[in-house]
Amino acid sequence: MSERRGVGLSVVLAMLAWGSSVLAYEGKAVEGGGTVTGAARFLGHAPAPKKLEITKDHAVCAKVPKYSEVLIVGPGKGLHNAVVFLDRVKSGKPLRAGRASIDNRECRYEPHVQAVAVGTEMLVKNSDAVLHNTHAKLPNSDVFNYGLPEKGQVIPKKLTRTGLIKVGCDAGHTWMSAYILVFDHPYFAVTDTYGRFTIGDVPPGKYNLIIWHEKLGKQVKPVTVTPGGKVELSVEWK
Amino acid sequence: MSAFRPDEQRSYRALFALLGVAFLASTLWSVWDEGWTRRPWKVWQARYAELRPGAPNGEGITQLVVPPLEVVDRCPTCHLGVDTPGLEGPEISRVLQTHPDPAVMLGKHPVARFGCTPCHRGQGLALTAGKAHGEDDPHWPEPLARGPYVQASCLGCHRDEERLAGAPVLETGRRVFREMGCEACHGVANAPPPVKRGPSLKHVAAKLDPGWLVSWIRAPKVRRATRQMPQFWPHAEDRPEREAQRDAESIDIAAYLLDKSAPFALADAVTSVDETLAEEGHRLFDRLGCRGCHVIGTPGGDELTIREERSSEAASDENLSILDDVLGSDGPAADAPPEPSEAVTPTRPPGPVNFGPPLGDVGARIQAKFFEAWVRDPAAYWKDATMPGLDLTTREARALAAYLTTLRAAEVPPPPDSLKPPYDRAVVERGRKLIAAYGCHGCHEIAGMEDEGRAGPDLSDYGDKDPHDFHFGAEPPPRRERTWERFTEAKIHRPRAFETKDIKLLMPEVVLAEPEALGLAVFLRGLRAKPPPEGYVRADPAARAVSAGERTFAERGCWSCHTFDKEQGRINRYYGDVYLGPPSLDGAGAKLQPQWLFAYLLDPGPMRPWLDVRMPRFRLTPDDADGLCEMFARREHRRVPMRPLAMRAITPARAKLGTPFFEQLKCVQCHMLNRQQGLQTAQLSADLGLSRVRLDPDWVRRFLVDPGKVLPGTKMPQFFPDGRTPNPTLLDGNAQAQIELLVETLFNLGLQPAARDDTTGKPLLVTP
Repeated sequence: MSERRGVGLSVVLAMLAWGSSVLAYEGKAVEGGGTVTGAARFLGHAPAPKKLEITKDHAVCAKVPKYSEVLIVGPGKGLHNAVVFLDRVKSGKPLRAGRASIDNRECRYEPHVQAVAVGTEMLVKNSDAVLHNTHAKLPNSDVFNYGLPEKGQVIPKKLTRTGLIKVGCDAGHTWMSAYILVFDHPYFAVTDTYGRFTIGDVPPGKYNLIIWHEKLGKQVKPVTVTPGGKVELSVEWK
Repeated sequence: MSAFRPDEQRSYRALFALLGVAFLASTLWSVWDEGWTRRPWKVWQARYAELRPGAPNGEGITQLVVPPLEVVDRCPTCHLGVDTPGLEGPEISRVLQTHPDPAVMLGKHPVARFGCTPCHRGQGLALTAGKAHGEDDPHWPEPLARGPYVQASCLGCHRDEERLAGAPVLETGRRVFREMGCEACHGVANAPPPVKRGPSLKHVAAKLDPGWLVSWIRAPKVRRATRQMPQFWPHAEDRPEREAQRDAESIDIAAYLLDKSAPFALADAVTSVDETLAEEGHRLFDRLGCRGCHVIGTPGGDELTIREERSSEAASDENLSILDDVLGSDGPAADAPPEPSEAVTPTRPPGPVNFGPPLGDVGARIQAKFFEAWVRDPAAYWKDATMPGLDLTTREARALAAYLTTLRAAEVPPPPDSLKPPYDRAVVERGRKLIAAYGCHGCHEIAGMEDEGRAGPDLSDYGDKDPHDFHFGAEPPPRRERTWERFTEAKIHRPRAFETKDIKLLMPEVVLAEPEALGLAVFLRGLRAKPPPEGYVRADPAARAVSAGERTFAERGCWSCHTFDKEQGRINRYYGDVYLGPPSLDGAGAKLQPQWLFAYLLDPGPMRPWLDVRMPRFRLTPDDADGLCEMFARREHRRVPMRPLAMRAITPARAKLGTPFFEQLKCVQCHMLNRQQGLQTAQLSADLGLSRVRLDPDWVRRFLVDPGKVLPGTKMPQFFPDGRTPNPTLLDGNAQAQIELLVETLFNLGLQPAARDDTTGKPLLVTP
């Protein structure tokens, strides 16, 4: 009886091992990894960012004027705050979940857009002397909703699910918004003010590169990475 | 000396011998007849013995005698496995299987006390399947109740207790019987008093367009989920003479209604519609909550999303979900509230849910000058109006009225030439007779018909009816097929199906979905003349109150706006931000103090004055409010009868700690406090000054620990995640102790204890 149970157990364990190898990301040394680099641009007419109307806690929130961060076009028509990533990579360089932060500072979120690996410990901070609540939602569920009444307060939260998290403040600061994209692989980047991005150590192969922007939606570009090669591409929105 | 002559003696001996042989033969025959092969129960007993070796198998005939129910049942002679656990599954013959759902069915109804036939029917004494099940015995009036019909029997004892867990079909029928207004024409003993299902027609001339009135009487449409005006000349278009009858009779009825219509004070005639006002009315219609019950019904007219007016240009919703396929969707909310302990059938009727009439054509069918008076106070026109009051200002009422007059999606035919005042006496008299015969007064308040009785036969013992007494029409089916079920189902589907040249039928036809029609038949089967003996009727006053509460909840259309029993309130789909819509009532029994809720239901003031959506005034009776409060409380397993919750006064020493902590958490950045809002934002939360009278402190404790878990979708943030606290020094940084201090502080925010004025039922809310 116990022998039979032992056999059953090992079968289950083997299936689990096989299943996880198929489903979860596998980190390993990458030989001959390539690089995907480039820039995202917004070629259309970008109106000057709208000044946000501060309706509450003026003493703290309206110290400096605030502008909409929904569409930021930098020098050379570079598209800032787009998230660039390879679609569903199953293995490659090790996934390192470290720490990241989202700070309520002068009644906006810093950073406005970020991308992190699953397992990351998100430090939710308040640098203002007002009550902020930081309400993070996946499309169908809450990730967290912390009340931060104290200046300097920090609450850590481990992000355990992949997805696109929208962050907002329900404590009357209706203009505040931020996005956190959580990936189960390390091949992602957020564009800088020039719209530039670089994703390195990519195992050679064919991929779909996805570029997401909160206002403009998404684009998908097929890319082929050769050993040690460098793929340069330009992503454009009109 | 023999008394007989020798020849007589010989013939008597021969007779005796003959009789002796006959007796012996009949004895042998009966022994053979009752032998192994001729006793089917022996076969089942043997098979049971194979399944359960060594178990007592009855050994012969088992008889259940239940004197109070006058029952002698031999069913367990064959059905040996009924209360043996573990005999389930297709490999075991149905004859020997364990009773389905034994915990409820046998646990609450032990076989020794209930027998079998009081629920299952059939012939309890018989020992062969055909006779016992009654189907092979032409003289047995009621065969075995097959399929859902067994649920009909529940009604005998569970008369006042609705939403029975094990009888969904019966409960559908009970609901349909009430919703479709069957009680308007058919009396049922011990039923709750029926409400008139249709609008009052006492002042109909002031309200309806006469052309529309006639066309509606001729052929009403199905427009609402829970009410239906039936067809009085069903399928008339199939027969020309019926069509002519319909056209003539509908005019006669309309003539009576218009002739008897009493005057009603209305606003000045509306000559032209002010477009700005109509636009304002449209916005009110969208935002006040009218859409909870009414649809406009024009294509695209019901697409609406109410969002908070945010000052930033937020990303569009599509951009938030376009990565679901690559990043994985998070599916439905992970922290769903706990399941209620007992399974209950849903409150909400299936299918499209229009609680009130659709309003796409309301401007065409209703006279323009009627609207303002109606929206301002529906009860002034009709004291039992289902439409609640909305506490509108004059400006709001005018704006809504202006908007409603613009809704003219349908053409209304002009009234027939014959329908012009003054109405012909003969026509009016014909109309009166028709109204009395068809029973229109059962559903509508009609002047002059106040003393008319019900138009249809009483159904108090309809379930007892012998099918051979039913009239199956001109071409009845063979005798064996004339069953109670067949007649009733046919009658429900096509009430006039059995009409003949000589027997005219008047019952109108309603449109029912198949499960609703079956439910209705099952419900009718449960209507029996003989009450169950004492001790069998569930006379649980609490259960009765809960049923009454649930009935009120359904009848008033509360589900149109409020999420309840995890069913999303109909109106909620219009609110992109859930907290802009009406609050969910799941868990209300745990959150709210019963006294406060009672008072609020009777006099709903603006709890959340910053919201556009408005809790209407339903003109509930104190009994209605009691039933609702008790239902909410019992769903959360609260003690019933309820008692006021007390929170002791805070000590000065504790207040010295609590008040600064309350300020530190900046609760009033979002919450109102003693009606002060002080904040210039559209996003506010409930008045914390009401905590003492309104909230249950236990609920507040749980809510503070994890708000999203207690009230999914709430904006209230978590201040104490995983035992952390924003103040690490207060009370040694113990989050639990800090929560306790906070609750104490909240419940002492300068308010007096809860009270309610018993005569007016008004809440005595103390203002600061």
